[in-house]
Amino acid sequence: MAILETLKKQLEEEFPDAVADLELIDDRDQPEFARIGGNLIWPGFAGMTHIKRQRMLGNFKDAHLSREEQHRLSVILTFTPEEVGELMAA
Amino acid sequence: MSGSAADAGRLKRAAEAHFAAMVDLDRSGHQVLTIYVAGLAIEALFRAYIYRLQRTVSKAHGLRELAEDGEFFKGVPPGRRPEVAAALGEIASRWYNLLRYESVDSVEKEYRRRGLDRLANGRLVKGDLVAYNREIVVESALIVANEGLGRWQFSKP
Repeated sequence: MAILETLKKQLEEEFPDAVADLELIDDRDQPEFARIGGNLIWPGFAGMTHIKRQRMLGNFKDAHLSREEQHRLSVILTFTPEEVGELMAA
Repeated sequence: MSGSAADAGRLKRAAEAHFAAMVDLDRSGHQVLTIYVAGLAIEALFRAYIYRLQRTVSKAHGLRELAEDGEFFKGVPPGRRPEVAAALGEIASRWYNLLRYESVDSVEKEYRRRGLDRLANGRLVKGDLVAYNREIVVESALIVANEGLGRWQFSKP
């Protein structure tokens, strides 16, 4: 599961003060091929459209991940800490 | 037959994969498929919510009906409900199942027929009409995704 830790570290370096909460999301018999998904929680997303957030993530993927690594990714949702707080209170 | 927790999890994972595909298609500029996959992702998400309630998904349902059957809006706090409902409305007015067989020019014609070539002030959209509507659909789908998948993860069922 080295890719999980590496990706988390890279994301948290690229987005300072972010929390990258990632996991293997597919229930596959071969977990080494399971896709990775999760959340990127970053105060810098405040006031930004969701498309812009995802395009920033896309630029990160292009800069840091190989094509094979990109294919391992499922959706990474983008939140501000405040948005997560609202969801937890719901 | 009613859906099970396993069915709900399967549909949720499908929705996650489809949202990821939507983002990739959008970045690649695939107009029609981006819109189609956005609707597909929302459909999978709402079906997951229905199965989570251990209910049956009826045939030939639109997105709004699926949201209703899964009680999707019941868990949306009142403060966010208008934004999430508006986002679903934007998608529902632009997504139809036959999109997967359409070319970009036929979608453009259909959107003109539906009046989706006009801004709220009545003026005509400038530039690429399908790209303009694609942006609206993707932004709206991400709002629904954050609400639906985020709530699934961060709050109680």
